[in-house]
Amino acid sequence: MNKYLKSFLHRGLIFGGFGPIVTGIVYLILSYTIEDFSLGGVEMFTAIISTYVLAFVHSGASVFNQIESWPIAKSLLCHLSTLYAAYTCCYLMNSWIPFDWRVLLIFTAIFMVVYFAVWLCVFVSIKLTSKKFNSKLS
Amino acid sequence: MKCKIIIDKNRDEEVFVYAHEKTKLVEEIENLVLGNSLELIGYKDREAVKLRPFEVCCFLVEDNRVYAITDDDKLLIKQRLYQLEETLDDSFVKINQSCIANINKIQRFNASFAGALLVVFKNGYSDYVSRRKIKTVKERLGVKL
Repeated sequence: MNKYLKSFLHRGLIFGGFGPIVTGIVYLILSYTIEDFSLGGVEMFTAIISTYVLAFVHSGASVFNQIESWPIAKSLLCHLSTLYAAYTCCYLMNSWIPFDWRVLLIFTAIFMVVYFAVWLCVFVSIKLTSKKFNSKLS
Repeated sequence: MKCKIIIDKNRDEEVFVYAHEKTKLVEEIENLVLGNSLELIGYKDREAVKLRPFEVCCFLVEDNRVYAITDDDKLLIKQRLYQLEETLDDSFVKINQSCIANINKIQRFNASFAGALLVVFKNGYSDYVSRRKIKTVKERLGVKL
């Protein structure tokens, strides 16, 4: 098996369980804050499965950044598109957003802004670390 | 610090350092001397080549084989990476699961757009520092945490 695929599956299996945990926490918060809040069995089951898949894909997709033979733009694009596809499917399947192109457009815009904000934070942090390390090199 | 070198072919080669305390310079001299005394055997085209650790930029694993990357060569090493890690001195640090880098051969650190910390060696070869190894590299370089 390709080592990157193996790494994708390995990471996915380790962190996939966090998805349902987050779902449980969100459910708990909603049930305390919204009066008469309840979810049906099918809805809850779909939420658990889809958030598991989401966490699986999210953690596994980090492997794209480590394929050294790929140019950076390609790995970044693959990472972004995989996450976008996973999040969009999860949100639509659970009816967290309606199947409406205007809503999808807003969702896409928010997704892109958050993705690049997170990327910028990571990049700046790594840049600062590299600067500190370089100052110690003779 | 004074420095005196005596060339005498009739005596065993040895280095004495008299110092008030163990400074970075003393450690570097120690590493250099000890590094010089350790010899490895590298293989290229089935020919054995003597190799001193200070000549190596990094040791890396590729296809389950360990290689030493020098300034202008790539030699196969028969030891496993963990064995090298135990033998090598403090000028070497493991930067990811499959690479041990020689700090003295690092040209610079770079931030990659993929969000990884890259090490660029003086010979142009580059590899990334894994997140779990950043702390070790920090400590080894003496960067305050």
